Amino acid sequence: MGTSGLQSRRRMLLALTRVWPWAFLIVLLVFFSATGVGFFTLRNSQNILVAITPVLLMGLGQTMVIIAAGIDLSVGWVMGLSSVASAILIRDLTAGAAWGPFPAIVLGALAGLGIAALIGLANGAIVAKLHVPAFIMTLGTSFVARGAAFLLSGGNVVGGQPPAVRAFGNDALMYLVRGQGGGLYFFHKPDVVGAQLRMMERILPWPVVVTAIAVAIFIFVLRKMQFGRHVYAIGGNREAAVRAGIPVDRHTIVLYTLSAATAGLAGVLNTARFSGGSAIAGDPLLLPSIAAVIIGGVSLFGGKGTVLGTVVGTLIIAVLQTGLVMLAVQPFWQFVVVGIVVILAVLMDQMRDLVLGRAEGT
Amino acid sequence: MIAPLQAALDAGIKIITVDTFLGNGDYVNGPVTFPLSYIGSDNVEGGRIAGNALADALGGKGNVYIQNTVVGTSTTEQGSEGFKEAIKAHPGRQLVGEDYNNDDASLSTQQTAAVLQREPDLAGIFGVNVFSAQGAGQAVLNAGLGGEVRVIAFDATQSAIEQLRAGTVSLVIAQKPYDMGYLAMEFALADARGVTSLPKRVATGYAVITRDNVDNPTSPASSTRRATSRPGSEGLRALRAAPSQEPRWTAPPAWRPPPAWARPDCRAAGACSSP
Repeated sequence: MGTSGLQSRRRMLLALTRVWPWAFLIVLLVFFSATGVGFFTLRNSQNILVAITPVLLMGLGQTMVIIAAGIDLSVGWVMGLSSVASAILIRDLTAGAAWGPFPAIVLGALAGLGIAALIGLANGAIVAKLHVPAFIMTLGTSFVARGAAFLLSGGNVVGGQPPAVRAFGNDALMYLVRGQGGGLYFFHKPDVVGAQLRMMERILPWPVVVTAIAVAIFIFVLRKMQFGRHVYAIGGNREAAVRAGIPVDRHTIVLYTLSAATAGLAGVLNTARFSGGSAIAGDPLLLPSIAAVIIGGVSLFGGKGTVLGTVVGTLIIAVLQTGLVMLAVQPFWQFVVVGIVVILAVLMDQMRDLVLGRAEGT
Repeated sequence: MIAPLQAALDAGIKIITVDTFLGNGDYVNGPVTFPLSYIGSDNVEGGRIAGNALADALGGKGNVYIQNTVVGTSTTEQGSEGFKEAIKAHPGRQLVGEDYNNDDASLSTQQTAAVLQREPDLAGIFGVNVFSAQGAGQAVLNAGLGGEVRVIAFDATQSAIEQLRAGTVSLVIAQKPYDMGYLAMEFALADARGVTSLPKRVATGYAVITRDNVDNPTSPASSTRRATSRPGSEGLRALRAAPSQEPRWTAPPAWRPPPAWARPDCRAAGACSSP
C-alpha cells in the first residue's frame, strides 16, 4: 500500500516532467489570448510561425546532436556564412540577366547548403576520429565560419538580389482576402491595393512550409529510421553503442553535417526574407536555439528528447516574446522572463533524473 | 581611451578624433583638450534629426515606435535619446514603445509585427541601425501597410539605400563618413605643415535621404553611397590621389548645409535662411 502510493506519485511526477512543455505552452496561449490584445488572430499566428523558422531549423539539427550527447556551437556563424554565400551566388548569376531568377535561387540555396554541410563534415570528422571535444571543435569552426562569412561579404550586407528572392521569403502558400470581393487564393498572390491589402492575410508563408517539411523529415528520421534509434543509443551510453556494433563514428559525422545543413537552410531562408546576405544574422540565434531545445525536453546529457519537444520549446519562447511585446511589457523584463523559463526547464529535467534515480535505487 | 592617447601624445604623436570623442567632445573648454580636433556627427543630434524628419513626414497625427538594437551600445542609445527628445517637442505624437532586437532582423520583424497589431495609430518607426529598420520595414510590408507606416533608418549603408529604393524604408538619415575621413587626413597634413588655425570641432552633419533625392548626383546621397563599413579609408584614398600642396586648410568639396529643421538654433530664433 505504502510502496504503491509512492510509485504512483513517482509516475505522476514523471508524467508531469514529460508533458510540462506542452502544458506550459497551452497555459501561455490561453493567458495571452485572454488579455484581449488581439493575440488569438490568424495574422498573429502566422507572424509567430514565420518568426520561429530560423531558431527552429537550427534547433532541429541541434536536437539530434544533443540527443547524441554532443553540442554544435557553430550553427550561428554557419547560418551567416550560408546566407552570404547564397546571396553572392544569386546576385552574380542574375547580374545582367544571364540566368533567370528561379534557377539562380535554386543554385544559390544549394551553394549555401553545400558550404554549411562542408563545415559540418569537418566538425563531425574531427570530433569522431580525433576525439576532440565537440564544444571546443564547434567553437573553433564557428570562428572559421565567421571569418569566411566576413571575407566573402567584405563586412557588408550582400545586396543586389532579384525581386523573386524577396517573394520567396515573404509570399505565402495561401492568401485570404476578407470582405467583399475576397476569397481564398492558392499559390499566387492576389493583386489588391489599399484597404483590401491591409485585410489580406498570409497563410503559411513559404519559409514556414519549408520548415514544416524539415520538421517532418527529422521526426521521421528520429522515430522510424534505424539511424534515429542509434542516435538515442549513442547519447544514452556511447560505450555500449560501440560494443553493440553501431557505427558511432559514421553516425557522428552525419549528425554534425545535418546540424550544419539545417543552419545552412536557415541562412538561405534569411537571405530570402530580407533580400540580402548577412554574415551576422545567425549569431544572436545560437543561444535561443539551444534554450529552445532544452525547454523542449532534450537532456544536455544525451539520450532523451524529441523533435516535437523542440518545436514546443521554440514556440514557447516566440509566444513569450510576441505576447510580452503586445502587452507592452518593458523590454528588459522580457529578458528576465525568458531566462526564468529556461531555468524552469532545466529544473524539470533534473527532477526527472532525480525521480528516475530514486526508482533505480530501490 | 584617454590614458593611452595621452601616452601617445607624450611620445610626440598628435591625436585627431573621428566619429567619436574623448571627455565631452569640447576640446576648448572641456575636461580633455589635447586632441587637435573632433571631426564627426553627434549621435544625439542625429536622433533629433530623425525624430523631426519622421514627425514632419507623417501627414496627420500618428504615433511612433523605436526598434533599438543591442542594449547599452552608446551610439544607438544616444540616437534613441535624441529621437525621444524630438518627439516630445511635437504635440500630438506619442512614443508608444521601444524594443531591443539584439541586432537580429528576424526578431525585429517579430516585435514590429506584434506592435503593429497592438497599436492601430502607429504611423512611424525609427530603426536605430540598418538591421532594425530592415526588419521593421519588412514587417510593415507584410502587414500590407506599405505607404502608411513610415520607417526611418539610421546610417546609409549600401543595404539601406537598396531598401529605400525597394520601398521597405521611407527615409534614411546619413552621416558623412567620407567627409570625416577626408577632413581628418587634411587636418593631419595641415598640422604637419605648421598650420595652427585648425578648428577644434567640425560637425560634419547629417543628410536626410528619401526616394526623391536618392538619385540626385549633387545630393548628399552621392557621398554617402560611397560610405563603407570603415569610415575614413575613403578619405585617405582620396587624399593619396590628390595630395594637398599648400600649407593651408581648404574647405571640403560639395557640402550642402543641413535643412532648417535640422538646425534647432536658427529654428528656435525663427531665422533660418534656407528652407
